[in-house]
Amino acid sequence: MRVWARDRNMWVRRASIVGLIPRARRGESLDLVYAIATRLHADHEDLIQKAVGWALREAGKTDMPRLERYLRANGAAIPRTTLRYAIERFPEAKRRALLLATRRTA
Amino acid sequence: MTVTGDRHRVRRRSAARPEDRVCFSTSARTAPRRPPTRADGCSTASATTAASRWCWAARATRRSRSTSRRMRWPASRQNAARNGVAVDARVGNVFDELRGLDRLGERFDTIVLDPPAFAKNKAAVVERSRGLQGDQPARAQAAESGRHAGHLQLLVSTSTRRRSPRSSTRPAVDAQAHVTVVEKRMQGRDHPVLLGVPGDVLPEMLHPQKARVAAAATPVRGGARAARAGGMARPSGGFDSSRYFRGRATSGSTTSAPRRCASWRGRSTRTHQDAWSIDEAMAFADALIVGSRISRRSRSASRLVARYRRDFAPRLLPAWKRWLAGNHSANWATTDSICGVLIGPLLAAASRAGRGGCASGRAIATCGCGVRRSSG
Repeated sequence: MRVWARDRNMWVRRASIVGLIPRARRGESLDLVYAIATRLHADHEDLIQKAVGWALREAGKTDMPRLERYLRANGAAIPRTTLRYAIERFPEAKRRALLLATRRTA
Repeated sequence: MTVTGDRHRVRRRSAARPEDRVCFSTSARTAPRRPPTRADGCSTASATTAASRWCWAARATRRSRSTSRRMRWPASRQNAARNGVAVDARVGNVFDELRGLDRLGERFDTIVLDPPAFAKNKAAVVERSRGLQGDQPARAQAAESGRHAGHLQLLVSTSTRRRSPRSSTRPAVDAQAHVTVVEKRMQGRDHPVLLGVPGDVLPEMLHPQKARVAAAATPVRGGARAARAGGMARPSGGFDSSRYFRGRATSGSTTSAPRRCASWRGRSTRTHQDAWSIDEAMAFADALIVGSRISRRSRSASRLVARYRRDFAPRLLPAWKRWLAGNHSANWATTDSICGVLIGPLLAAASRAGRGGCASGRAIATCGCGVRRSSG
């Protein structure tokens, strides 16, 4: 999957993260999910950004503190689409705080 | 009185009295002939301007926590003040309120309801015994509540053409309530065809000239306002709409013989399932998928191979990657379908095999869910 995440084809890159979602949902292979997500943050394709956000959200279902730590640590590099998808499950107050904390400075 | 824009702003357009027209009806044909003397608008701010001095309004607060925060009714009160309408606004479960009003003998000429949009989870998909799914129970409840109303207007959001409008009207028919289909709109650009759901392909989208559903009337807007809105729009840039919608050139025979293709795939699978190995199934799927941009064939191929999931091995990944990289059916739904039925199960099984056993705790060789180790 790491190799797929570097592929030139967008659908292969999307599959590299979407294929891990069932495992992320069960709290498995979270290291791999976060590693691939980090690699894909620079991707400008909206379908990739949405897929990464989806995978992060699923990963957060079993380990929400880890997801929050990850978002706070990498917030500036994470596309806003991804971020908004990822924080959907957080409480409203935390969602706002994360959006604020990860806002890029001009 | 008209409803304009997404912000539910309502303004008076003519000197007519507010109660002369029903606000959600954009066409005079759909409005009741007799002006309502009493209307009940529920669930949206614009509904509170349901064109009556006797308008009663409430919010359907099934998800009460999320909506109660927005229950200040600023838009409703502003709309009412602009139109000189007396609005009795309440917060609560609109269906409980309606039942209570019904018991008290209250009657309304028109009820405008916006039931909860979608089933958010599996638990919400209930009442199968009544043949209802998803948000249909809410609609049925709404129709039941509006049994004694002269007219019931449902604002129904459906993601698929298949679910609308028959599923919307069936509960109301059961409740013997009048239903008005005020307007039909199709899916947005970011809501493409869901290939995993049969019958979800919109023929209107592929062949607009054959569309049977008329396009929604575009509201006349001022030039300055349109220009300002255009300036606020995100530039399309390198947006490739073909990623979301297949054009005529790329649709191939998607609509030519989909049923025949599916039945042929079913027959082939049933005939050969026991005899074929995973490699033979892959060869068949390769022939099915390569050289076409036909999503239904792609889906058939992935479903065919999915039947052999017990024999999935990591050596199959390059072939699946080739399918994806070949852009044979380049859309997110097919990609996710391949991930869901092929790649996901393989990775899950490989993970269990890596731990030396399956989820049941039995050895991989005996549990029956095992993955054959790749020879390459």
